[in-house]
Amino acid sequence: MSDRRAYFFLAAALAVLAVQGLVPQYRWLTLSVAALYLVFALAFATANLSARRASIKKRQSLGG
Amino acid sequence: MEIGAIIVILVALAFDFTNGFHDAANSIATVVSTRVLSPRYAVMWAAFFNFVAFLIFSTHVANTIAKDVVAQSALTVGVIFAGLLGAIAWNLLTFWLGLPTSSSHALVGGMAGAAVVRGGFDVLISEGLATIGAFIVLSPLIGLALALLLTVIIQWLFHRNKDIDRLNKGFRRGQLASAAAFSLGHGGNDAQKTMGIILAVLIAVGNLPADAEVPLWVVLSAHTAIALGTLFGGWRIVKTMGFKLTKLQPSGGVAAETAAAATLFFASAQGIPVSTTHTITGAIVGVGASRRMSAVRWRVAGRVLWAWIFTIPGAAIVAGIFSLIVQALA
Repeated sequence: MSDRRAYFFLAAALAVLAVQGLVPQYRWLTLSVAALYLVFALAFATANLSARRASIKKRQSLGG
Repeated sequence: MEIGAIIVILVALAFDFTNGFHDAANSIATVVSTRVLSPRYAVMWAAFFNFVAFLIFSTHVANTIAKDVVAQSALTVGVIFAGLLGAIAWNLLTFWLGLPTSSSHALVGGMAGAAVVRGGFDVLISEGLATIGAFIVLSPLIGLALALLLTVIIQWLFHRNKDIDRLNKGFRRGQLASAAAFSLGHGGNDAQKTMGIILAVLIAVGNLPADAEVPLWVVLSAHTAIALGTLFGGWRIVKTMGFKLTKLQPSGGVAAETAAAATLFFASAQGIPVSTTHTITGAIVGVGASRRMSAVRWRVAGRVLWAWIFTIPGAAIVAGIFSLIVQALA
């Protein structure tokens, strides 16, 4: 997970969850936003992993 | 009405003007940076929608400022005056430094600081301050998430379109609508903070009962002041917002403004005073982050972040000093 965006979105999700206790009346909102950030984090992390895997395969095929 | 109250109301309207001057630049930064409108027409566009916002939004935010930050028993005319002076001084300092800080949080910090110096921490209403504090974090993060989501949707819908010029032309037109929506949200949320101050003054001097709603003349004068402030907008901050954070394309401008407008509409409907500056900054970063992290100029974003953190305590300290001076002179 070397795409820095994945870490950034993970941190954003944690920040949203951290303030959730201050506004219990908006729990639905904080949980939805945190979930959205987790989806972004996962999407960017897996996209990056796929790209790296493809790059490794390409290098291996060139080398061998 | 006593002369002190009239002076505070005039200072509140002056604050509203500086709020427009300082914050409303956010409404037009993306429109100007994507060259959809010239700066002159952009400020006129934003000022118009700032003014007509009173037709759409109720006055929940004004009630929060007047009744949910500091206990009404502690809100004397002198305290409100000192709070306003603290917020204005903080705004002018950050304007001079070119930092897009929040006028709204300067106002909340100013009111809290001025009241605490006179009556201790017990005068603060923890529930109201907790909601405002939580949305300091939430409003930019909601703006960011929505902007990123919209950017992804736009890219997904239009990635096969080869006619870039035509596409850009369409988004430029779309930006007129999204900038108008953002200006509505800005007028709706920020002008109400001044209404809240004036409402608190009118209650403090006994001109209105404690459970009174905002009178129409207060609504109209607050929207007029913020619209005039927008017309004289601050270009130092437009540059920081529109040019320094990230480079925007018209589609990015639409995504950022629509996301920020949606966040402001929600906050205004819920009576939560949020910062238009925080919200649009988050949204612009969201658009930049959809490309790559290096598309966002993090040094500028970091400078903005520090300004956010220091706004409430900074304005509170300045207002506390003004509060002691006002008390000594009274």
